[in-house]
Amino acid sequence: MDVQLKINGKVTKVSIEPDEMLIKTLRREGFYSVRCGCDTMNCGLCTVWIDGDTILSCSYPTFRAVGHEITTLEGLAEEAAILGDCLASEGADQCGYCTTGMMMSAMAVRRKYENPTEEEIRDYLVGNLCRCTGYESHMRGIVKYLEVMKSQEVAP
Amino acid sequence: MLMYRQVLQPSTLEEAVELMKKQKWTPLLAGGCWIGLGTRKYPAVIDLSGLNLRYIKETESDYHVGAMATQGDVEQYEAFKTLGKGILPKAIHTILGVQFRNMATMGGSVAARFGFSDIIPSLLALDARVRLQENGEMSLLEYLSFTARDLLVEIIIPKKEQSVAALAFRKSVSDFPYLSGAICKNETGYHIYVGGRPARAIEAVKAGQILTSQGTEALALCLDALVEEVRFQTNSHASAEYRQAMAKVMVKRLVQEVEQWTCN
Repeated sequence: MDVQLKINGKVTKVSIEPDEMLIKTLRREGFYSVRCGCDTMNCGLCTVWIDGDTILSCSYPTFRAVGHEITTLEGLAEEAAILGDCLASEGADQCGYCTTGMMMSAMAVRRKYENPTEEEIRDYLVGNLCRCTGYESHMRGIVKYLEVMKSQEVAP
Repeated sequence: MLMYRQVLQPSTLEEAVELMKKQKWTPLLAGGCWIGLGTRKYPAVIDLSGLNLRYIKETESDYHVGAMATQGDVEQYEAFKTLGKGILPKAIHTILGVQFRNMATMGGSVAARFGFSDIIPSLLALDARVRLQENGEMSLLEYLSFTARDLLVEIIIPKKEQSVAALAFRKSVSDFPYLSGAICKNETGYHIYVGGRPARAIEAVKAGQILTSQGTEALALCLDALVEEVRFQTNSHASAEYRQAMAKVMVKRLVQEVEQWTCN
């Protein structure tokens, strides 16, 4: 199947298998922030946005993404750098493998809620597993990032 | 992973059911959740995403939830936060993470009649109906044992006043429940539903009738009738005996909750 995808604002023509999942397409196109952890919709490592909503690209058929906006971490590089610094300063990076997917959830929280509570942040992170179990530091890092973004008055 | 060579993309409900009839063994692709867990290969799948079924509409008497509305759509829909004290978003909220709920559809959740469903008991308590393309409307309870192949178009939830409550017991957050249930108290009396047996949810008719005719004084009798009429089985999550014992606890709590409901 030949389809047109809009990835991080840029329209790209790709040739895909009918049953190809979005993660495979994105990685083939060079978006290596999208990682596969479990392949069974559990770990959240492959989180990307479709029209601003977080989804699991390991189980999202690519053909369904046609006509929708796909956003990966690469498309949010500037903001991701700020979030990355906040996470690192709290020691939340550890092995780093789950970080990119978790960051996609964290950046979605900011767009979803004006002043998210820890409960609301946690809700968004339930679907992002960390094998190093750095959950407390993730929380501190994300709270810090939300404060930084607010102080810099960056619109979601 | 579900594998297929071809995606059939009907753009009308009529086309979709024609395809379903012609290709009896071709699976329907709704939200596509769980497909990662199998290893079956199909020549084709019928994609339901082009049928404009992602909606939630209101009429004077009902809410109409399109089969392709996601669990997340329902969880965030303003009116459902108050309908039955938010029974539906509360049940949905316990299902895995935000990303999963942004993909899983209401139609998929209902049509698959999963025994572990968190959603089905709550919908039963709300007296929901379903509309099928060929067979028209029927109660959700009837649909749960309806075996003909038909396309689920929408779930219809009445706006009526009734006291409802739901519970699900699980070993840990975001796991499948090993037992689920819901209760409804309305003008026809008490209706008790038990799911995660682990088979699909059913109504414990006799148990409900005892409460309806004898009131909550007869709770002990109701619970005895419940374990008599509802069959439990053992699987990886719990034994039949454990489920049976916990079902009594669950229904007792449901009755207590629904009684408080009425007083408020």
